[in-house]
Order: sequence, then C-alpha cells, then structure tokens
Amino acid sequence: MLTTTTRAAELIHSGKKLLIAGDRDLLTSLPQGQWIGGTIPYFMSERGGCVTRDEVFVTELPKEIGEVRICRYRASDLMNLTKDAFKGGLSFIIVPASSEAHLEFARQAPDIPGIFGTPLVGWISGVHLGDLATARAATFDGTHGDASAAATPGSSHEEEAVVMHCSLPADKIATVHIVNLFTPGDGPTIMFDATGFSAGECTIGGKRQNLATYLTENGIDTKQPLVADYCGAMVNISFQAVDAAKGEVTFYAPVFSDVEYRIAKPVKDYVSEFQHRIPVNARHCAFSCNCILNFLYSELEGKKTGHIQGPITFGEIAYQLLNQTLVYVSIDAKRAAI
Amino acid sequence: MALPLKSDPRWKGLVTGDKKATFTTVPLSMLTSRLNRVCARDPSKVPTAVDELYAFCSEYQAVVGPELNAYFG
Repeated sequence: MLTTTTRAAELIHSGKKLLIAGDRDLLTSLPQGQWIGGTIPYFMSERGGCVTRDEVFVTELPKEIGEVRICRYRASDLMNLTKDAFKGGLSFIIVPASSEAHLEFARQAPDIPGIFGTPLVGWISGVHLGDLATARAATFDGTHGDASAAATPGSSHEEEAVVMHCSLPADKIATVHIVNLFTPGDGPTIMFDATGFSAGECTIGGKRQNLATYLTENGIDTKQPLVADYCGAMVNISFQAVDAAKGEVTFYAPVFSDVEYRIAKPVKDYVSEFQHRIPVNARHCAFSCNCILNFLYSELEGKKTGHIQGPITFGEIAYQLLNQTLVYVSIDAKRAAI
Repeated sequence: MALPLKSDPRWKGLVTGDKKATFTTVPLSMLTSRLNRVCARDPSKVPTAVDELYAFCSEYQAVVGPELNAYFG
C-alpha cells in the first residue's frame, strides 16, 4: 500500500516484516526494524499508477513468513547469495541500478550456485527519470538504521544489493510468476559475440551485421524487446538506445553470447494487452513489481491494475534480471501451488 | 508418478536440448535452459548437468512433478 512515513514507521515499530519503496529522503527517515527498501518514485497503487515523492509503498509480508535474515551483498559477494537462504523458504532482493552489484547480478545470476533452489524475487531500485544525471539509486537495510552505508563505514548502500531471506512453514511454498506480453517474433534469430549491455556487430539470420543498422534500416520499433525462449520462460532484453552513427545498441539487461534472440512479435494494443494479461485473481500474492517501461509504454499512470500493486522498477528479478515484465510471488499450500 | 531413473537417457535429452522442452514452472524452465547452454558449450558437462537437474527435480518433485510427468509421458 502507498502510505505515509508515519504509518510505515508504525508498522516497523509493530514488528512487521516489510519491503518498502520510495524516495531516498523518506526511506532515510524510517526507524530500524525488519525491513528492506529501495529508491523509486513510481508505483502501481490502489489509486492506480502514480509518481510521488511524498509517500512510500509498503509491502507487508504475509503471516506465513517465519524467521527472516537480512543480508547485504557487494558485487563480489553475490555468488554466495543462496548460502544465506532458508531451505524451503524464499528470498526478496533489491539491487541499486547502475551499481557493480547490478551489473554482476545481471551477468552472473543464472550461474549462482543453487539459484533455482529457493525462490528469488525482487527489483532494481532507481530514481526519477528526470534525475538520471544527478541522482543514484540506493538500497536500504532496515536492521542497520537509516541506510546500509551508515552501518558499514567505507561501504556504500549505492553499491550493495540487500536481501531479506525468509523461512516458510513446511506446508507452504512460494511460487514466482512472470507476466510477459512478448513472445519471439517471426524474424531472424540474433546471436551476440559477447555477453554485455551493448552490442554492435552480431549474427542476424546467420549473417554478420550491425544491430543498430539492422534496427534502423528495418524500422523496428524498439519498444519491442529482444526475446529469448528459456524452455518456456520468455526472457526479454529491452532496448535502451540505438546509436546508428556509432553503430551501437545499448540494453537494460545484458544479452548473453550463447542465447538465441528474436525481436518480439508486435503487440497491437500495448495498453489493453498488458491490462488483459495482469492476473485478476492471483492467489495469495505476497509481492509484485512492474517495469518502468511497462509503466511508460502502457501509459499506466492513473490506470488501475487490480490488486497487483507494488513498485515500478528499473528491472525485475525472478531468479535472474528481467525487463518489461511484471513479476509477482505467491505463497500457497504445497499441494495447490501448481 | 516417480521420476525416471537418473540413468534414463531422456534426462540426457533434456539437458542437451535434443528433445525440446517447454515448461511453465519458472525455475525449471530457467535451469533447463541454462543446462542446455552449458552442455552446448562443453559436452563433457552432460553427466554433471544430468546430476544437477535430477537433484533439482527430486527435491522439488511436488512442484515440478506434473510437468515432468507430461514431458516424460
């Protein structure tokens, strides 16, 4: 729910386990407690999509959540992330945009040992789009006061992912869901020479070609991401910029050198299609987040998306970094999870 | 239904991608896809990939069992 810092502080003092998103100054004002947070001023709330620096979005974790363990990870520590997870539990992660932890997680997440053994869901914290040149995204660790930087001299919360590892009772299970509008289109396959957030020359339909030139010459709408089919899970890579003069394309998540991509099928009516795909009756949704590009391209400001609410993010995490998706996690009785 | 024995050659087909798999359970999809890529890069990793997938499916059989049953038939 979108609420005041006064109400958020009351929830913290009452011992609730919370995920909090909001403006940096507001998060800094919150008391210590069992919460983690990240900066962002965009939200899907009960009032619809909105932009505000005056309230914070608080996700109160459900009563099924038992013990929690809050940990911070610098880029070099991320490979150890799953060692702190509870067996049979779930973990919530927030990573500051443009940090080394962001880049490392994006590249390495699929190879973190045991990454698929415990549900991992979360988001990339960000800033107001008008402040991109001057502000930095941050994460907050509520167990260590105002900001994680305050607790560890010399370290910066702008460079650390924060994770709330949670235990669950034996008869409950967490399930991560991805809502994705996009499927691979009928165009040629695209293969990249190297894993990274940018690309120039690549292999398109079996021929060496510059991706920026290809996109420009074919008039491809870069609101349509690259899509890879991960054995049924569609994973998007969104275009950040196309510099035809430099022959360079940049992305919001890394392309991988050993993955086959295609430009997504065009979506006829982005707004209605997106709203159609949002689950109306998602069972026992414990947390959700939605991509800033969905917010912008689907023109979600002022529009309601049912009870699926949460921060609008600079990237979603469902085990690995995603783009242009809505991610949510549900907690169900084990036998009803599928 | 119990999982096929780890020695069943269909596990090898699954990790190598020789038999195309499509799952709806997110971690099973992502893990299988990662193992397909690992095995494509280095075929000597097939046995360890089978070990990893079998261990995952054994531990989470309650979750992935229906999809695996459909896959293995």
